Parts: sequence; structure tokens; C-alpha cells
Amino acid sequence: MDRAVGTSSDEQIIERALAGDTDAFGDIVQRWERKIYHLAYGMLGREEDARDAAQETFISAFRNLKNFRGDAKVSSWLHRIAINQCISRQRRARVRGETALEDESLEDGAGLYASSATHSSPARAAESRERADIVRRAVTALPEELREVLVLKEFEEMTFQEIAETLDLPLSTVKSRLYTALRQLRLRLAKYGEGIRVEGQRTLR
Amino acid sequence: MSSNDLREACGRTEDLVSYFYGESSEIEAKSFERHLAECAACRHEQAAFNSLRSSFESARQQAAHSFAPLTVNYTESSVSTAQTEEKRGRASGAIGARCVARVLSFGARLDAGRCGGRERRLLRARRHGRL
Repeated sequence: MDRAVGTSSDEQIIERALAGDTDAFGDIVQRWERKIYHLAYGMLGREEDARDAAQETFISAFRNLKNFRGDAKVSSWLHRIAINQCISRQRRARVRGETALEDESLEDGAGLYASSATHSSPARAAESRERADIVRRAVTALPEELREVLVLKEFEEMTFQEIAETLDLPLSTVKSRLYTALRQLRLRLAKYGEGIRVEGQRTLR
Repeated sequence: MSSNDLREACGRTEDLVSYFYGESSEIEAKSFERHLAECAACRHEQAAFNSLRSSFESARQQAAHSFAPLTVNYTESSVSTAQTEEKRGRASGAIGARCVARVLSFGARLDAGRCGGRERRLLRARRHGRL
């Protein structure tokens, strides 16, 4: 590609968009769509919701492009928009009385989370998927301020500093919220099982 | 639930998460390792968080497997959307109308049975130049 998207910074691409490069914003979409989808998936826990939220994120970002001041990283700006989209989407669903993922019964699969399934490969693979589903559901039930920190860490694999910049929070708040999120998650999951088993090997406690 | 789950962890929670995620400095890590050797509460939390992380890894893989690119090639209808945007003289319309068209175009494709009512209204309004 002539415009060397691969070597341009996000900020340079945004500058080009604002200067009249008609493809530049599309380059931003292409560069960030996977990360934003993963974030939305972590926040909402469902593929369709995540896809819609990611789509809304880029539409919203484009609409507000002229308001991007360059005093923040493009990545932080996009992640903030995405988090807000996810939160407002979930709130709207609640108002409409739609079944949110976190309202689906955790007990349905929680037995599997702590079960002592056989350890053959297919069984372990299935068990791993079940565990992931249960954890995903439990994550979506966390309070928003805990969930956003946890998802940025676990799904986006950001550093504490990057999370602090994205959410405009002190570093210590990021760490304490992350700790609280992990602890709440652990307690919530342990509530339904014998304990948290370490990958099919043994039960802690 | 065992009493362990209800037990308050020790006060070094921030040190624990820094160490757990590998974001401690070398000095901090050594200091915390000495603490870990003496603190059963932190060892318990660390082990439990390790188990959680293996499940996060599975969830990340699910996210990765379910991802499909949001962008698609331009279509004739999306070009007309771009033209509508330009006619309206929006400040940014001429700059990125094709980009919006691209975004809306993938939206339109996903729209079939996937997007909610609000998204469908937005896409429809965009197509008819009301936005």
C-alpha cells in the first residue's frame, strides 16, 4: 500500500483523515477492529453483541473525528468509546428487559466448572470451553468499573499504565480494582462449585 | 464455601497484582517473593488467580475464533451514501464519507438479522441522507 499504513502512527493516520485522505479512517478501522472486537467480547460476552458494539464504536469514532484533539492516544480514545458503547448497550438491554448474558443461570454450567470430568483430550477441550463460558458469564456480571479494568487487562493485555491512561484513573486504583475484580470473580465461581480446580489436576483448598 | 474464601487477604493486594501480572520491578518482585514465602493468604490468592487466568485464556481464544473483519469492499449503494454525505457538506463528510460507507457497508451486511433496531434505523437514516 502506497500510504504505508503499517509504519504510520495512529495519530498520523488520523491527521491524514482530517486532511482529506478518504481511506485513512478505514485504515484505523482495519488496524483496530480486532482489538475493539475482543474488548467488546470481554465486556458483553456474546459474539453478536460484541460485533454490533464494535461496529457502533467505529461509527461513533468517525462521527467524532473532528473532536479528536490529539491530547490522547488514538488507541485510548477508541477503547474509551468502545467501553462506553458496551456499557450503554448493556444498560439499554436491561431497560428493554432483554436477557443479558449475566442473567443467564450461572448454575447451569457451574457444576462443570468444578466437576471432575475425565481427562481425555476431547473431554478436556470441552471442559475448557465450558470453563471459558462460565467465566465469560461471570465477567459480564461484574460491576462496570471492575469489569472494564479486568477486560482491558485480560482481553486487551494492556499494562497497568495503559489502563490508567485509557480510563484516566490513578495507577493504584487500576491495581485495586483489578484485585477486587479477580477476587469477586473467584468468590462468585467458587460459590457454585467445590472449588477452583487447576486445569483438571487438583482442587485448591 | 470454605472459610478461606471469606478471609480477607493481607494488605499487599496491589503488590500481589503487580507481581501476578509480571509488572513488578526486580526489587519489588524479590521483596514480594519473600513475603509470599511467609503469607498463606497471598499464596492462596495467587493460586486461585492462576486458575482463573487459564479460563481467561480459553475465553480469549473464543474471542479470537469468533472474530470476522468488520470492513468490507465498497458497494454501489455505499458510494451513493458517500455522495449524499458530500452533498450535505458535512465538515467531515468529504474527508471520510467513503470510510463511513465502508463502516456502514459492513454494518448493512451484518444488519441482516444481527443488528438491533437502533442500528437498523441508523443505517437506514444514513442511506436516506437524514443524518
